[in-house]
Amino acid sequence: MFDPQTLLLSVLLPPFISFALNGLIPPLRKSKYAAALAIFSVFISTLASLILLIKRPGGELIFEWIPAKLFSPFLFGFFLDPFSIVMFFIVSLVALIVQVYSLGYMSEENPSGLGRYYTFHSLFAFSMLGFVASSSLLQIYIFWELVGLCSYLLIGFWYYKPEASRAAVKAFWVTRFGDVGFAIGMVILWGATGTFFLSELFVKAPELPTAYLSLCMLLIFFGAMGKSAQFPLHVWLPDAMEGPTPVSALIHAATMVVAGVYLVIRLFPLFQFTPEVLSFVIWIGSITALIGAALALIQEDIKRILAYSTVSQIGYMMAVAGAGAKSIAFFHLFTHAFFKALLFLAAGSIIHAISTNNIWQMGRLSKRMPQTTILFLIGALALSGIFPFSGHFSKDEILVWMHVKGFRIHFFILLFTAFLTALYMFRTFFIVFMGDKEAKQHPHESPWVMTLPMWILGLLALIAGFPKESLFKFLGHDSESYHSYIAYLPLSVSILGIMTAWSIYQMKLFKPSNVAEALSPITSALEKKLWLDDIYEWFYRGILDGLAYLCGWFDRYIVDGIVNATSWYIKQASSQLREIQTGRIQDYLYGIIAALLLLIWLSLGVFPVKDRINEEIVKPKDHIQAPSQYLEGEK
Amino acid sequence: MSLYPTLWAAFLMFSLGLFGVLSRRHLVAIIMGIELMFNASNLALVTIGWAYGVITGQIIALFAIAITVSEVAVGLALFLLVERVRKTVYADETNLMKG
Repeated sequence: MFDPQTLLLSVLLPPFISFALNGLIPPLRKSKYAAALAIFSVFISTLASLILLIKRPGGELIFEWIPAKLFSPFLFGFFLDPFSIVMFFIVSLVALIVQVYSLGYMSEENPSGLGRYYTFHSLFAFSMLGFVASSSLLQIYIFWELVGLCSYLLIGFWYYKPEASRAAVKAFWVTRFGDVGFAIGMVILWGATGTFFLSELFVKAPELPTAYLSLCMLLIFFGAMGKSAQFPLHVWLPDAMEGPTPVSALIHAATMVVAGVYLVIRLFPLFQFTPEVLSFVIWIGSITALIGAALALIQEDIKRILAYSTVSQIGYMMAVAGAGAKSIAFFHLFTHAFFKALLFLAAGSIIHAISTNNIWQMGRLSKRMPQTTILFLIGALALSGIFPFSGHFSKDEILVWMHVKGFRIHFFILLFTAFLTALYMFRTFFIVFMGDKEAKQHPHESPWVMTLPMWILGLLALIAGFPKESLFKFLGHDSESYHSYIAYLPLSVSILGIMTAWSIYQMKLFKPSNVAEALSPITSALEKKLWLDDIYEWFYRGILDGLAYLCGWFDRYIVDGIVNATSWYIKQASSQLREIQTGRIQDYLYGIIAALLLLIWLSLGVFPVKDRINEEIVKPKDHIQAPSQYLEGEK
Repeated sequence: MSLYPTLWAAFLMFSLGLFGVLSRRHLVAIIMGIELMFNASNLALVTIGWAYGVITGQIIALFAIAITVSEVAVGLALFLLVERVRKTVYADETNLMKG
C-alpha cells in the first residue's frame, strides 16, 4: 500500500476532503467536529509525508483529467522529488501544529466562525501541498492562485474589522499585481515551447533566444516577488498581520510566502540560463533583506516586527537562490519555517494573554509566562543565527556561499542584515520579556493546547539545523566546507547585535531616541516605510483612477451609445412593422397564397437546381411529364 | 380521352374555393370554401392516378375525404366555441392577433 501514488494521494486528498465536507455541509461546519475533521485530515497528510520522507521515492506521476491525447493543459502531474517531499513534510507538519494551536488561540470564536476558519485551513493545506508537487507550470499557477485566495480569506477572517478587510484586499491586490507578470511569462513560454510541463520545458526552453527566455523568467520572477513579499512588493505582508496569529505563523511565515522562493528553486534549471535575471534576483533579495531588517527595527507592533523579519529572511533565500545555491536557499526555507512559525506562535501566546500587539505595553513577561519566554528565546536565537540553533547553520551557509562565489557587495549587505536581525530580535525580546515596567493586564501562561505545539516547534527550531549534511545529500547538493575566518563572521556579528540590543534596551547605556536622532534621515525614511505606500497610493489615485475614469467614459458613452442606438432603431422599425399584423385571417392567407404561387413559379424551372445526389443540374419540369398519350388533346 | 377537361374542372373548383375563403367573412362560408378546395384536389388526385394507371391516387383521395370530414368536425366545433366566447361568427371581428 506504500506505493508512491497512494502516498501522494494520501498526502493531497485528506485536506481536500475535509475542505469539501466542511464547505458543503453547513451543519458539520458549524459543529465542533469541523476542527476535529480538519486536524485529523492534516494529521493523515503528515503521516503520509513522513512515510514519503523515509521511503524517498522519485519520479513524476501524471494523471489525466480530460482524455485529450496528451494535450498538456488537461494533464495533472506531480513531482515526487527531494524538494517536494521535504516541502510536503514542512507544510503538513507546520499546518498540523498550527491547527492544533488554533484550538486554544481561537477558543473565544463562535462555532460557525471556527468552522469557517478550519475550512479555509484545509483548503490552504490542500493547495499548498498541491503547489509544491505540481510538475506543470499551469498547475503551479492554479495552486499558486489558490494559496493566494486562502491567504486573502484568512487575513480577512475577521472581516467585520475594517483594517482586516482592507489588509486582505491589499494582500490580494499586490500579489495579484505580481501574478500578472507570472501569467504573461508563463503564456509566452508556452507559446514558444508548446508545453507547460517542467520536464519538457527544461529541455526545450534553453534553445530559445536568451533575451526571449530572460523576458519570460523576469516576468515569472515578478510573480515570485509579489508572493514572497520582495521589495518593492513587500508592502502587503506587514498589513497581513491583521489576520489571526496562527494564520500569520502558517501562511505568512512558514509556507505560503516562501512559495516565491520555491518557484525560483523549481524553475532554477531555466533561471540558470539567464544570468541577468539571476543577478536581478540577487539584488532584489539582498535589498529586501536589508530593508526588511531596517524596517523591523522601528516597529512597535510585535507581529509587524516578525512580518518584516520574514520579509528580510525571504530576502536571504532569494539572494542565495539567485546566486545559484538552490539547496542552501531550500535549507534556509526549511529551518526558517520552524523557527519563524515558533516566533509567531509565541507572539500569539502573548497576544492571547494580554490582548495587545504593542511591545511597549508588554514588559516583564518572563515572570508570568516562563514557557513562552523560553520558546520565544529559542526562536530569537535561531533567527539571529546563534550556535547551535537551526538558523545558525542555514545563515552560515548562505553567507559563506555568497563570499566564496564572489558576491562581495551582497555579502556585506547580508552580513550587516545579520547584525540588524540580532539587534531587532533582541530589542523585542528585552522590551517584551525583560524590561522594568510590568504589563498592565495580568498575563497568564497559555493552556497546554497552545504550549505543546510550541514546544514541538521549539524542539524542531533547535535541531532542524543538524541534518544539514543528509539534507544536502538528499537534495543533491555537494556542500563544501570552508573553514575560514568567514565562517565565524556571521556568528560574531549576531553576538554583536545581541550585545548592542542588550546595552541599549536592558542596561540603558544610551537612549534609543538619541540613536534615532543621530540617524534622523534614515529613521524618518523608515518611519514612512520608505514612502512606498505613498507612492503606490499616488500611482493609484493619479494614474489608475484617471485611466478608470477614461475607460468609464468610453464605456458609458461609446459602448453603451452603440447598444442604445441599435435598440432604438429596432424599436422604431418594429413599431412600423406592426402595422402589417392586422389580425385578419384573410390577410395572412393572401400572403401564404402569394408565397405559394411564387414557389410554384420557381419550381417550373425558372432557376435550374442542382441535384445533390446525382451532382447534375436538372430542370424540375423534366420530372412532371405525364405519359404522352394523355397529352394529345392539348395539341 | 384527354386528361385536361377534368383537370381544368379541378382547377376551377380550387380557384372558386380559394375565392370563397379569401372573400367571405362568415366562418362557415370560409370552411365551405376550404371544402371546395379539398374536393378539387381529390378530383385532381383521382384523375392523375387514373392517367398513370395506378390506384394510389384513389386511395389517397379516399384518405383525404376521411380526414376532411374529421377536420370539418373540429373546425365547426371551434367555430361554435368562437361564437360562444367572442359573440361573433365573422372572421374580421376575431382579430386578437392585431399588432
